[in-house]
Amino acid sequence: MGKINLVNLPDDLLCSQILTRIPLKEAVRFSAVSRKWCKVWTRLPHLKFTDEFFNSISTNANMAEDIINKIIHMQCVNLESFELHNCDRCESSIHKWLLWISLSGVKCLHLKSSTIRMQMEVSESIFSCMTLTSLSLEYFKITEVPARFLGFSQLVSLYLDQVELSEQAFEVILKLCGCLQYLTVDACSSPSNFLIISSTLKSLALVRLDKTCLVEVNCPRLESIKVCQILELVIVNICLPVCVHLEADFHHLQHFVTVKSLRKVIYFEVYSMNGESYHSVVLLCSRIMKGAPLLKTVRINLVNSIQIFEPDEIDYFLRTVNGLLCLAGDSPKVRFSLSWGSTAK
Amino acid sequence: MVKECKVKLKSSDDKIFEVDYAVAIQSQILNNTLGHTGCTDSALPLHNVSSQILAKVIDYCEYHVNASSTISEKDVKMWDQEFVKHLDQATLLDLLMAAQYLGIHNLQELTCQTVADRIKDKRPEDIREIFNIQNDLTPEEEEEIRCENEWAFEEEVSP
Repeated sequence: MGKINLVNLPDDLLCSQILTRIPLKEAVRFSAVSRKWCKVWTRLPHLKFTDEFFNSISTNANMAEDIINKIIHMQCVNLESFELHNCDRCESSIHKWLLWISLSGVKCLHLKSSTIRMQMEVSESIFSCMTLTSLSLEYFKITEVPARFLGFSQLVSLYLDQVELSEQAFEVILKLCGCLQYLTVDACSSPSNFLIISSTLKSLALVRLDKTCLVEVNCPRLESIKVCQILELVIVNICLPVCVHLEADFHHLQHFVTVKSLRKVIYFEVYSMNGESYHSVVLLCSRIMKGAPLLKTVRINLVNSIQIFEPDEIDYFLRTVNGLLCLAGDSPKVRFSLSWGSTAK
Repeated sequence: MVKECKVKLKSSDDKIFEVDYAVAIQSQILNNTLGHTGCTDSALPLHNVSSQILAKVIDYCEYHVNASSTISEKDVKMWDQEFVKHLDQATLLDLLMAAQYLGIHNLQELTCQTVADRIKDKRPEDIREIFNIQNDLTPEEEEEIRCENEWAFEEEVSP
């Protein structure tokens, strides 16, 4: 028979491993289960004020801001992570919240604004969160970086989705994040020039960029690169000595084919966006595979490639499949997969 | 380099279990210990884990040592769900603490998520009943807690 009851679980285990997996409203409600936990709502190291939270408050919108205020203010443990959606609805308070949590040593920060058309300017207080290891921003604008900003010296992961930032801001942030390993830029309307120089970066993803992008990548430790669904790409300089994971649009692949550093690639994924001739997809795949002896997995996404089911289209498609099957036949150690249809995020 | 040796583990109630090296090192603690001592004939004592729980932990680790390379992710998830589905609360919590103590990350994740699933969408009184917790709050104390965060105790508004 077990001796342990839920009540005997160590507090920090309960708060950081279990209560963090249920909605915040329920985690707060947990305070009424037993006297031991009557203040458990002040010891939650992971605060998630997501859409679910906002929807679960049946009273008016101002209540949400008051509730968030109270919970943040009363926390007596160091915050591990903080997530806030609908930032634009809390615009008046977000500045002070970020300052409070920066003092709490917060490590993971995820902010999302709800307006899609007009990005909200990110609060300057964000640059005071010096203890961040992971930062995720959705639907924001960063016009400039304050002069006093010394960098996120512990930042390992940066994720930007629909964030508009100037080239200068991007460069400053990147330069001052001395141990960045994971960088994702998704559907950001600017910058369009990416100068990515980092001796620590391991994974880079530039996706869904509707402009012409000029990219220079000088990251000797880069293991994974994903450059997909980009309108036009000019790569000035790319050097991938240890790359094992490569994902790219078909029509940008020529930048990678000439690079000698395919020799370590284990995973290769190509996106065919513009209905390119299927024959050339197969040909290019075959060239990549010749240059990558360690290859284990090849994925081909014929995204948006089959728009009209004309006999010619179908014929081309079948020839591609056939070509790929031959490639697969010649390379028994490689696992192939083929998908088609429209892009989902 | 895959070691072929067997590792002996002794539960808190002095039962000896023998497992493959690859199974044992899924525990971070054992991985570190074996890294120092290497494979020995003497049994490693696990003071905080009873034989009943250790047997279950070993079941889990034996499945998972082979799972990563040969079985699909979906099937592994299904097996995991079956593994925890019929566990009574006490066993589940014992398993959680054992996973924590031994440093078996994926078992920790699984047991913590299962506990969370069991308390999700439940009112405080339901949680007390499920986990056999004595209500040690006076009506006044309980009222005070409910008032402190009134918003959390509102009945759900149906979407």
